[in-house]
Amino acid sequence: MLSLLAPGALLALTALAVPPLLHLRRRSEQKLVRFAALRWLGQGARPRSQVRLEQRLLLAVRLLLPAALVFLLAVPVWRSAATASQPWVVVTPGLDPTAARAVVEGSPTEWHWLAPAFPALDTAAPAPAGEAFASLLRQLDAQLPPGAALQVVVPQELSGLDAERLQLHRAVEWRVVTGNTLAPSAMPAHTGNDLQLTLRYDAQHTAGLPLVRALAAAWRAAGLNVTVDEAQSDTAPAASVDALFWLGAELPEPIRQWARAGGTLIAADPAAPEQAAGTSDADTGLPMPITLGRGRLLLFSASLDPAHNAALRNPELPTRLLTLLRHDATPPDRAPAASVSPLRVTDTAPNTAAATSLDTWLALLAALLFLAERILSLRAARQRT
Amino acid sequence: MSEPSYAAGFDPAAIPAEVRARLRGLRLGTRLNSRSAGIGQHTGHSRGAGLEFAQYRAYGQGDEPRQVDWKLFARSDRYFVRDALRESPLTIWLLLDASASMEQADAVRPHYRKLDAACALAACVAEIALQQGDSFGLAALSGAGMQVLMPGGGRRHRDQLWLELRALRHGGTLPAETAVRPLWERIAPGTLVLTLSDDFDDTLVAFAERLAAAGRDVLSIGLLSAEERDFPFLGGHRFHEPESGAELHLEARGGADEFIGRFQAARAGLSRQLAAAGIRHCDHYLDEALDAPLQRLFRAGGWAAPN
Repeated sequence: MLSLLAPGALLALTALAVPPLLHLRRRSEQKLVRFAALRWLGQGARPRSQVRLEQRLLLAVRLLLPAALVFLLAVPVWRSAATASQPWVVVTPGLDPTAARAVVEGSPTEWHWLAPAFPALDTAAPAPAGEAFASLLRQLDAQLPPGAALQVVVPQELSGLDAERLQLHRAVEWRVVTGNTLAPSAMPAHTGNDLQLTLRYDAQHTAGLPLVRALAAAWRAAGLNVTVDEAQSDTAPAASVDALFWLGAELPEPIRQWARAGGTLIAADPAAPEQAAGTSDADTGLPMPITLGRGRLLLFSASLDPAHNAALRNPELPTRLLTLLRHDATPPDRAPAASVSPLRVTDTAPNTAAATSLDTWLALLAALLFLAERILSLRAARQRT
Repeated sequence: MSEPSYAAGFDPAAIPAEVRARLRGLRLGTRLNSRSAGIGQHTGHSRGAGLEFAQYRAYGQGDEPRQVDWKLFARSDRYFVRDALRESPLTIWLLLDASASMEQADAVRPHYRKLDAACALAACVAEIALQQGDSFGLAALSGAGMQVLMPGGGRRHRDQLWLELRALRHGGTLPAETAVRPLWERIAPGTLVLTLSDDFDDTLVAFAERLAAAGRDVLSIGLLSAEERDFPFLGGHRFHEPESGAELHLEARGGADEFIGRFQAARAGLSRQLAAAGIRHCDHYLDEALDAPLQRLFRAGGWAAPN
């Protein structure tokens, strides 16, 4: 089955009007004959106005050549019709294949894992790729032939969803394996009331100390169990500490290492240019977190002295900073599977299912046509002279 | 209209050897009696001393006594004088059309124009006249006017004719009748006039008719190209008439039969018209042998050589 990925390019077929015009125009280039007996030539034998084309073979080649090029622009692909109606079943990794076979209806032949490259279900189960679930399903939808039925075997609770509801171009049978919940992804959950803060500073930068103490006081007042470890040194704290405030000229190497290992570091660097300090959130004035290894860095562009930094004078500062510290910005990606069964959209989407590109053959054909055109044209020119 | 140009490029060597050989069998002659003075090969108008007996006439004052036929006097007791026909030389005028229409050639032989054929024919006729001891003159008419070589005889005069033909001015249209008028005074009555033209221009035809009516023996060779006879064109052509500059765009395939019919009818009409005026005429096509029209006119034609 032949289909075009860019059918709009067929508009260029209007270029086919040019070669016939060229071959018509040659008609008027008539041979000049010196003929003294002109007066006996009849007026009745005027050239007939009917459309006449010269060198039809050459014209045909000249028509085929742009047609082939236009067709090449339209990106033709060949889809074998044999795989069009094979129903597919994909199983979310982490599920038991036998349990999956139990919930699927009918007798589909194509069993695959919902994993990159869609390995067969007979092969070993790939590692669960929680965050790629929706993406993989969309990819499969685009790759499968339009008519192929699809059954998706999912656990009760799905992770790896994103902000957009799944919309696929086919009706999908959504098979939920009950009683099987995947282990939640290893994400730090700050659900408790404990908040461990560490404050490190050097002797020249003590202006920020009251700010940290005030923040701790504010969070305590909000009901959190805050512990603050204050020290004038550059030693790194333990890994379990929630946040480290650094008041100093530049980041000492132990503290940088600690942040790279997965900690949250809050520092100020007045000397750092704006872009190095990270862009500020327009609403809060707080810097956006910069990824530093596996950890995060909140780098204020001004010093942590409220007298010099307007962002620190904002009364909302404790709330917003706490939100940042407690990973609350992560969007939700988990939902009960039954509630997120894919919607069906009917618009014609580009389908790349098992498509063989015909570009090479068409380019070859165009090259051959070009060669033939050159040869025929040369021969015609020689005949004229 | 094309400008008159020089150098028709006539080359006497262009006359093939076999044509030159066949010319020996031809004799130029006139149906009229030559009125030119002198001794020549042609039956003269004047009687007098000669070999050919004409008549007896009564002796008159002034006749020489040795011309009296004494045997007849002995029988009849009267003086009779033997008269003989005097054989006079012939003058041949070659009237050459060098207008632009004569520059036409066939596509198969693009450098052999009607004008070249006309020059070669003129040279052939001059050759025959030279053999016969006749005198020949040339008048070439073209857009540049008239180019005249007065009649004369001998090899030097033939060479002079070749030079004239070589430096022939041609092109343009034929001059008006008034410009040709000096020829009237030069072409004496009783001379042989041979026109070499395609006869597409009525001026020369009318002039030939007037010459014939005024006692000149006029012959005419119509020069035509093979294309005008066969019309071998296929496909679209732009036909250009060199004298008027007119052009006609034609699908040649469809017009061939019509043109051939019209053209042959026109030639037949011309032939009848010339015959009515007493002009012997034949057509010469460029793909024929050069001496073919001369053979038709001078061997099989109306005039037979006296001996």
